[in-house]
Amino acid sequence: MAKALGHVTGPLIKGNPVTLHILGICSALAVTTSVATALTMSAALTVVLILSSAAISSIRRHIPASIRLIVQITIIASLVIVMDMFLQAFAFEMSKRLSIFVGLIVTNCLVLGRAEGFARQNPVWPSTLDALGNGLGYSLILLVVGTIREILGAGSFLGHEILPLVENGGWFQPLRLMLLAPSAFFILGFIVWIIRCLRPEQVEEPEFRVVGLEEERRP
Amino acid sequence: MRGFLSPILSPVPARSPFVRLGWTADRIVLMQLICLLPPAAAAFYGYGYGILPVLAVSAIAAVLWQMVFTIVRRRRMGLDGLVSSLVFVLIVGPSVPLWQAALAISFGVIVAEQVFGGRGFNFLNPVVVSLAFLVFSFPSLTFGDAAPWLSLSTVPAAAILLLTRMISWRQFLGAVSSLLFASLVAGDGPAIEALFQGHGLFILVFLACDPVTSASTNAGRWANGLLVGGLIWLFAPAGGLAEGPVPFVQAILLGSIFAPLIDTVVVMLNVRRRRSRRG
Repeated sequence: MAKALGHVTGPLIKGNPVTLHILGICSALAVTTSVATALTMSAALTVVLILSSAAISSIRRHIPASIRLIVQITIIASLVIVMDMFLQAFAFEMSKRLSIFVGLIVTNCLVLGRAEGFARQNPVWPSTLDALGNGLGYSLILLVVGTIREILGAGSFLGHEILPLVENGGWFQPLRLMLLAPSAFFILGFIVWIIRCLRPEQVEEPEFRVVGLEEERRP
Repeated sequence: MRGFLSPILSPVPARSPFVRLGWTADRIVLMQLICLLPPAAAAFYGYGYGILPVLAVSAIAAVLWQMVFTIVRRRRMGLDGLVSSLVFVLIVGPSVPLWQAALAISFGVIVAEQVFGGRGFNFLNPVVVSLAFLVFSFPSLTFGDAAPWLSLSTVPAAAILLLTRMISWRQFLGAVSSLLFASLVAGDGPAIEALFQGHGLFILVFLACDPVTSASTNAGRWANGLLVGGLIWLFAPAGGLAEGPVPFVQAILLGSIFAPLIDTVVVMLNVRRRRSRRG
């Protein structure tokens, strides 16, 4: 039971797919201008991830190694098409706001990464839990980034005005930069920075050291 | 506090890359501050006392963040924050709201400079990043007209910095000549008056020729300068070079990003040429 729980909780912060493996960045930049789109995208990706991991894991002994990537992509793509059509049918407005990014889940390294790295070698139940954990880890980061960007960029949370805008007679001047993609890069960078300050074991070895910098430090 | 005042009290040699013999990072910063005095005087004359609160807030924010990082990292503290905030304020003018100025300079100093290890390790100038932050965040913000005499008062600074080779004359000449050439060919007329009326010369000297963020090979400096000058002309509205610092900021941002690539290409070509010469 503890091991099963570890599959779910491990990828939340410790092995987070976005901040540790730096996977799924494209969608993390594109759909986090508001919390609503971030949540929808997170749900879509988590569902696709769980279903694809379960499917690939259940037929893992029958997939020939030489064409495994093609089989995996086919399964993922089919699920993504279903998800896209589902959103178009039941949440058309949201589907339009997410534009092509639901379809682009096919190319999200996170989904193929879990299929290739975990589901291919593990039984169905652990694979499903692992997919759930990774989906939740991805969702957590998207939620944080989306919250920061929506509050600072539009003064609202889930569409409800939190900080009264100047144009509505309030005091808050929104930062338009937060609605542009680069801001998500900065926020992600700060999140990675914070996590690696708290968990120094995630810090990578520096690629080079500057000679003479060390002795300059005061004791 | 000793670390903060050390460049004035006792110039301790600091190691920094690409600094010529006899020049320490601290002395360069002091020199820049001295060179900034005439433009600062021109700005006080042009803007009036309205510039003082903006200057105070920006300087406090910049120095404070620099202090935080140097204390946490146990490094020596320079006066770079003062230079950055002074250049920043002289360009934005007094019309910017104080909290926006503080936010922008904090963003520039932290994200563009301190996270990389401070002055000398950055690849983008913190002032350019601060200005870009302002431009992209608050599109409604209008930069005040440059203080009259701002660019003219930069002439002595330009002369000193060029003669002491603290900024590269290749970079400077490249930027100026491609800017003039592009506007001449496009029929906008020579841009000389634009250079001397608006922020032009000031930005070119203190931001476009920043030795840290521009190319560091001689051929690369020419290429980098030509690129920046051409981009300034490209980003400016037709004939509107003197209208504001925005095209300059965007051009320098792109030019700095290309500087390491230009250097890499120059070094690569040099290696190839020497190899073929030896046979």
